[in-house]
Amino acid sequence: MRRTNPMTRRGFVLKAATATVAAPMLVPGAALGADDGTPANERIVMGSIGVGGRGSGDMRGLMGFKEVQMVAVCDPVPEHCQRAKESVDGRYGNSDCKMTADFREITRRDDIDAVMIGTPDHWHAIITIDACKNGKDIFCEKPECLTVAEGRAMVNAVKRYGRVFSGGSQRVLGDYGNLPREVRGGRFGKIQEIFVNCGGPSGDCYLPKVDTPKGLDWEMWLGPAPWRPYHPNLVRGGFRPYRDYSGGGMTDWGAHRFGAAMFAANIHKQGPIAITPPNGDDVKQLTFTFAGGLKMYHGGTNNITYKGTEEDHPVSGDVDMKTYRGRGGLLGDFVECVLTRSEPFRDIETCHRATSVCHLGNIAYWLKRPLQYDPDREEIVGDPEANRWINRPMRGPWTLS
Amino acid sequence: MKYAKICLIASMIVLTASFATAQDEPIDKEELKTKIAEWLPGMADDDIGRRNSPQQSLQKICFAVGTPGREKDKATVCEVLVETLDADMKPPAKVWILTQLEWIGGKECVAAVAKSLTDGDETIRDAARRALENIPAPEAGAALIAAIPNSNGELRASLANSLGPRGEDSAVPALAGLLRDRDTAVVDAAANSLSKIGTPKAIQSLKDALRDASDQTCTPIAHAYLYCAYQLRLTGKKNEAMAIYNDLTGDKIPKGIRLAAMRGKLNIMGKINP
Repeated sequence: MRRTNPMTRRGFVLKAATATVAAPMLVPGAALGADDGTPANERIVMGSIGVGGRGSGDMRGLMGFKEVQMVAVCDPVPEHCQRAKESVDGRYGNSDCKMTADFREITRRDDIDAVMIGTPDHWHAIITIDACKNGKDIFCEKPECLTVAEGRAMVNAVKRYGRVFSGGSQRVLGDYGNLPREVRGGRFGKIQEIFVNCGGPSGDCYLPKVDTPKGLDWEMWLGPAPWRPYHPNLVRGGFRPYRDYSGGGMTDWGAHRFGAAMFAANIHKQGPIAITPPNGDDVKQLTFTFAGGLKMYHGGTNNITYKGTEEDHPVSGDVDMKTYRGRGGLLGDFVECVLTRSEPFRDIETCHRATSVCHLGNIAYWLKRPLQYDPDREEIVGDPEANRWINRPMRGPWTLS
Repeated sequence: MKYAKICLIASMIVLTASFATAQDEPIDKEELKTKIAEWLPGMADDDIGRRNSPQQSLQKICFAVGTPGREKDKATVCEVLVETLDADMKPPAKVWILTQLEWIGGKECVAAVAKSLTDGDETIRDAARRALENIPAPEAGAALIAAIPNSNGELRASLANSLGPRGEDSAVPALAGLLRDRDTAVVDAAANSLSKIGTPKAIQSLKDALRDASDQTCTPIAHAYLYCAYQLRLTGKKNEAMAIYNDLTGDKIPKGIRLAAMRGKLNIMGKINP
């Protein structure tokens, strides 16, 4: 289809932002969409980083938007990369898609406007920040980070560089019909308790050693995680139970459901002040306590259950609640926000607060003791050893920047 | 013989179980030393699955003694772990012990952990560095700094990276020295860590280095300097932030950083939202 056009949207925006006033310039026909109907300043050139199961799904979803032109894919697993390239080439009817095992070959490309990050969780923060530093907008799968400190570093990078960042939970609005609007609108009055059902915490990995397949860049897959031998489960989506790469069910479905619950209850920009694991006595479920007294519990009969001051009170009229821009759900929201430089529905602060809840829950489970948390300073208070888990040293030479 | 073996296994099970259930009871140093000696071979078993039980048994104790109010027990456990580091063991066991010290170690562990920074095994060196990064005592930062001169390449960059999260002003001279390293990855790491430390001395060292930076080193130093401006802005130090934004102009500074600096200035001036 079309080759890379030097007058990409990025080049357009960069020139517009940095150029001094000059005489009007001649605009090439391609910039007005003369060849395929999408003007250069409405074209988003993208690269996909992490194209296993979920990542390749997101990649294909994004390619469904006429504004998006996917030009490169990255994965240290050669089969993932090859399959993704075939998908991209098939979409555009050429063989132009570039493959790489190193995300920096995508984030450092001047012709790329945005990246999709579908890697395992332990890579999300590093790649996001690198993308921000290199002027890219980001769509990043959930859970968006591995630790509380990573989340805050991502927030800071997105704001520092003025990037558009969308997190990857399509379920906040997608799974519950009108319920978020009704909860926000006061169906249950003032929310006092929320019950969230999702899997448990992650733990250490004891998968046996398997010889690394030829061509697979295991060092790159591991990245900042402590070294261990290869096992195929890890590269086939089975990394989630293991603490070095993910947060178990707490972050896998928890990022969706805690995030959805917090959004509906309008506490999605807050953090808890206490996290109490079950103690075999009076505390039956992991409990998050928020300032103002709202309690959110891990566990319940439904995905999410709300209890408030009202039994069940119909909601009518408009409800002030953020929703998707553009068309096409969460991905369409991202595309629209890139074009209009708006804040996406699942903005980075919301992602960070949702995943922080998951991470704090995990810390309480691992250490088996209650935690007091300062959500403004994002520190565990009065427990220095627990507070060490807010940030985790990375395997060299990787670091958070 | 068979009966003796059965008794031994039974007593190990009982002893492990009693350790597992009595985590709230004071730690007996000699008992713990015995247990760890028994667990040590299993912690490095070639069959990774068999490492689970001994490793988790030790970790349960370490996590438990990290509870506020159990400082005496924590000190006992750390003392035993430090002594154990001298024992002959395979790398996975040593890495596991260093990892526990990453979570509960204090200043009394630093010297022993630091010895592992020069181990022949890369996984041990990295585990030691991560432990020192996380141990809150100033001696840990000093140990990281002390290791820099005899390091190079990836290890040197990693040591520099570890100093950033520690946030100690005492690391600034060593990091500032690395801003002129021949390895741009080391420069990147040093600049990044200086930005995390963010003290006036750290910021000044970035400013000075930016002036003389080459084409290769200008970008990482400028990114780090920008980070400082952002942090100053967040903490209300708008004048100091503006001074940095004003420095981040000119053709030498990459376009993306100039744009970000412009955004920062516009934000301070109230022209755009954060």
